[in-house]
Parts: sequence; C-alpha cells; structure tokens
Amino acid sequence: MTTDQLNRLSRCIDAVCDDRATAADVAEIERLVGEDPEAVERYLDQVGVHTGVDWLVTSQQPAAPPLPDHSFASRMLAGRMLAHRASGGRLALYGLLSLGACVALMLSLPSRLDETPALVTPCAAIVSHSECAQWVVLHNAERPDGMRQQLFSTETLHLTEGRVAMRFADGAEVDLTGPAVLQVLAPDRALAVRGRLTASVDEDAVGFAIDTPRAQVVDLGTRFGLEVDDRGATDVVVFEGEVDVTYGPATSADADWSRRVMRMGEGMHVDRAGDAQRIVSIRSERFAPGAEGGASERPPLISEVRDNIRGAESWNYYEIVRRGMGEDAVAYVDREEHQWNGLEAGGMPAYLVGGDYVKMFNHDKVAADFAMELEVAQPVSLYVLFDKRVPPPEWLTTDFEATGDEIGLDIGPFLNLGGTMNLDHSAGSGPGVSVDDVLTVWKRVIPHPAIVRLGATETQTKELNMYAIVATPLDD
Amino acid sequence: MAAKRSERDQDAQDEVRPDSPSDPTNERTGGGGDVDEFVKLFAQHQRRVHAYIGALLPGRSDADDVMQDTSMALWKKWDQFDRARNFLPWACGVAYFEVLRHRRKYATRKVFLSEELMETIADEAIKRSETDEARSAALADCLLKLSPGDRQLIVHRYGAGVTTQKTAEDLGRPASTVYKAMARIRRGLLECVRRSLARENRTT
Repeated sequence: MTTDQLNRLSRCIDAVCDDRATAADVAEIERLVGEDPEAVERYLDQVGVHTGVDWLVTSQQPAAPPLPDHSFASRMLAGRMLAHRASGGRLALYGLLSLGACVALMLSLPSRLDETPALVTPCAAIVSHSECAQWVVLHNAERPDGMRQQLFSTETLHLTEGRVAMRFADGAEVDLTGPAVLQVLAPDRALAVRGRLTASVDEDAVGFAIDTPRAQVVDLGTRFGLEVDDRGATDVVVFEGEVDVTYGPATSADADWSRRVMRMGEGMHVDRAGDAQRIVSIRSERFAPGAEGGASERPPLISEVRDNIRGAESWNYYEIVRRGMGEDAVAYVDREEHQWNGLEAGGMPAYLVGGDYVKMFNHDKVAADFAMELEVAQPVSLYVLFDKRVPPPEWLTTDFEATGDEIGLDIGPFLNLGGTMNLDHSAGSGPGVSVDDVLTVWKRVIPHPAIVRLGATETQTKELNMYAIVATPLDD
Repeated sequence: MAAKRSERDQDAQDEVRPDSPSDPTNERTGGGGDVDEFVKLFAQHQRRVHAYIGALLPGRSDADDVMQDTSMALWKKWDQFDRARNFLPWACGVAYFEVLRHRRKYATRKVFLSEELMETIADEAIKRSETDEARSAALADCLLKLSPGDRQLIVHRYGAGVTTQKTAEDLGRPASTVYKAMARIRRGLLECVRRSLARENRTT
C-alpha cells in the first residue's frame, strides 16, 4: 500500500471505531481492501487495538437488570441501563496491572450500589476487584452474560479461575477463589454452590447470610471462611467475631437442622450427610486471598496438628501459619491482639523470623490432660516458646534443649473467659514496645519427617500463656 | 470460501433442541457438570469471541448486543456442540450469524461493513486467533505506558462506555480534537504492540 492509501484507510477505520463512519468511509475501506489484501491485516490490527482496549478497560458485558423475557420492552429497559452507564456514573477504571500472563483489573467502585435509576432494579452485588480471574455471570438458565461486574438478585457467578472480590449492597465483602460458583440471592444473601470464600461483615451488614447445600451461615459481625465441595460438604472457619450456623442433611427441612453459634477460632466441617465435626487445624493460606501460590515456594514444614480435645468439647482449630513468624505476628487463634515481639528493639531471635508457626489456643494453658501431635513434613529445627513464669514440664526439658534466648508477648486488649473485655494492656507495634510477658525458647532438631508429641503446661497457676510452636527448615 | 460459508450455514441452521442445559443455579441436584464445561470454555474464550465480533461490528453498542445474543445462542446450542471440536471456531461461527442478523435488522438505520467485506474479515480474524493472546498481553502492557493524560482519555472513552463524541462533550473539548487524540493514542498503542511482538519473536 502507498502511504497515501494507508493514511486514507487508517482515517476510515478510525471513523468506524468512533461510531462516525459514513457510507463513503465504508466504501473506501472496501475499495482499498479490494486493491490490496494487506489492507485487511491493517484493518484487523487497528480495530483489534480498539476492541482490545475496550475489553481490557471494561472487561465486562453490559449489565442488565433481571428481565422476564427478551421482548422489545425489556431490551429498551436494558438500553436505558446502558444509557445510564453512558452518563458515566457507574464504572471508572483507575488502573491496570499486568501480572505476567494475566491482567488484573482494579476498578473504582460506585460509592453507592443503589445509584441506578429508579426505573431499573439496583444490583445486589458487584465485582470490585479481580486477579487473574475468568468468570461468567449466568443471568438465568438461558442467558450467560460474560464477565460483567454487576450482579442482580438470582444471578450466578461462575468463577473458573483466579480470584474476585465482591461487595454486596448491604456492605458485606466476599472474596471468592476459583473455581467457584456463587449465586446472589439478595443484597444480603448468597448461595455458595461450591468453592472457597472469605466474608467480612461490619456492623452495618450484620445478618448477611450464605447458604450452602448443607448449611446456612448468618454473620453476626465478623470475618469467616467457607468452603463447599462438589457434593455440598461445607467447612466454616471463624476468624473474628461470631456466626450463627445451622446445618443438616439436604433431605430434611431447614427447620429441623441443628444450630450452633461459632466464635473466633472455631471451625466446623459439615459432611455430605449433614453431620458436623470439628476442624482441628487449617493452614493460613487456605483462606488468604492470593496467598496460596506465594507461600508455596517452600513446602509446608508442619502439615497437620491434632490434639486430644474431643469434638463434643471443643470446636477450636489450630492455624498453621506458613512463613508467618515475625514481629507483631498474632500469637493465638483465640486472642485477637496477642502478638510476638522481640524483648528489645533489636528484635526477636533472628532464627525464628520467617518460620512456620502454629497459632495455639491460649485457653489450653491450664488444661492438665492436654496433649497434641504435630506432623512434621520436612527436616526442621522445632522450637517451643514457653512462659518464663512457670517451671518447664518434664516432656520439654527431656526432649528439647534450652537455647538461652527469650521472646516477648505483647498482650493488648482481649476477651476474658467470662465474655468481658480486658483493657488492662495496650497494644504496641514492633520489637521492644509494650512487651508484657516473657517466654523462653527451646529447640529440638527433627532430622526426618515425623510425628512429634507435646504435652500440657503442667501448672496450676493461670498466670501464664500457652506455649507456642515454631519450625524452621533445618538447612537454614 | 464457499465451503466455510456452508459450515457456518449448517451451524446457524441447526435446530435448537427443546431440552436446553439444566438450570445452572440448581446444582444441589447435581446437574452442574454440563454447565461447568460450558462455562469453563466460554470464560476461556469470551474475550476472543468479543474481539471477533468487534472486528465485524466495531461500534460498542452493536458489539455488546451481538455478544449478548451470541452468548445465549451458544448456550442454547451447547447440547449440539461436538466436544471433539475446538470451541473457538464453533463459537465464532455462531457469532458470525448473529452479526449478520444484527446487520440486517439495523441496516436501514446504521452504516455497516458490507456482508462481503465482513466475510473476508471474519476469515482473516479466525486465522489470526492463535496470536491473539500475545497481542492482548502486549496491549495490556502498552496501556500501562500511556501518559496520564492519554490514559485518562482512554478511561473516559472506554471505561464509561461512551462515544468519542460524548467524551468530547464531557471534557468540554472540541470533538475534532478528541477524535484526533483518540486516533493518535490507538495508533501509538498499535505501534507499541507491534514492537513488543517483534521483540518477543526475536527472543523465542
């Protein structure tokens, strides 16, 4: 093509892309394509940038309200919705991030989800953020809608890969990890068909509920994790606050299901028959958005934790935090503010930093018959941090060696056993600040994968903290 | 060319069976396997189907409408899809006829490419689909290199789903200025994509 032809072609294609092409522009494109097949290549290159930018920036199909049919009137309604979007009120992209082979789109959100015109149904939830995600919204049994951000009541989001963050109209935030299927039932309710999610609910959104085939979880102001397998078995793990869980078999009416309030640090597995069991331990990355891949650079050092506390007596779970040990690391699953810190400004013993650690239950500090087993998956240096105020038990002095090092615990405010808040301790930040208690560091080398047994604190006093466990690779 | 048209005709004329796939939200009853397979393939290829439709109908609202119609048609015809075939050519075949339907419906009100040119472009677009992922990744990187002013213009034009004319009105700038700016930005992005692909070819 000559430069003149190329320029003319380019101008005509721009006109097509900008919705201002005339019949003469189209005729010119056809004439140039007829003269030189390279013009088709040029056309596809140029239009490809236009459609590609459109996709990358919006990454969605137009959102339409739930419509009873596809009649002309319904399409007009959808058209008005589009026109509203055209007025610029609903979505605006503020950034694009390229993450290797995938693209993460970060979208600024409308400040209010009900900013739709009165004529149309407000959406019940929106996808507020996505990472390497591919999804399809099913409007109903006949209408798949592609990757759009707005979801209306009764619509289903099929996430085939990646992660999306959703905000419900009532204020609840849900992080969904693919593959997963979530149906939005209402602005304050969803059905998790399968997949893994975490939900965060502040005071305004208390009452947000997630149904699964075997359970219903009503949030009482909290953050919790939930996973549903292909057959409906459901895991519920409470990270903060409380949830109200009802559960039972699919064959019985919901009114006949069992009910239990689950609190921070408690987890429940509802099996396919609708029976509930305690979840004994979870890995920290299981419900941490996007953390699974990153943490997996090093295989887990501790693969499982078990204790002798029966399900009927406790629903508590242990959290195995991979690479998580460090300044201000949260120490226990049942204490929101207790944090590990170095005694002095120089920090905690360096060999502990970056280790895998187990968040224990501080409540277990006075359980006289307590015993636990760790499945150690790799050769490790295994450390026990033991409260300095009480004498070490025989199992510790026999199997472990005192390093002579110490570590601090910054207590902060916490919930007493009676349910009242203990505000005697303020929380600090960083090493050497607001350290309340001191623990000694004990070490044992585990050269091969093994099951390691640990016992109780063996003390009558309540003035202590439960011991802690840290593992670091033996070759470090 | 005639053979390809014949294949598309066959796809388009296949009668939709009355037993469409089971309700995707009713997976408590275990009817999700078929839905899953469709959704997985659709999610994987929807951007490329959108690009294919956009090549034939560059206008945003036209492409959106046809993408919607195509999604529904694919879903209805899913039971007829031969799983041994590739999804993308099948989906584009279905999309092609949705484009033609749309064109014929609005031909008296809008300016479209001729059906002959559409067919030529459609054939070429399918041939290029293998390099589509690399182009898209390069384009995403190139978007990040735009100046703040150009990025703001792109975000307003595409993110808000408005026309270039409306963008000019919103920004209080002459339409001709914004048309030129959009053309310049898209041309710059095209050059950036070409350089990126050339670099990639040199290193592989």
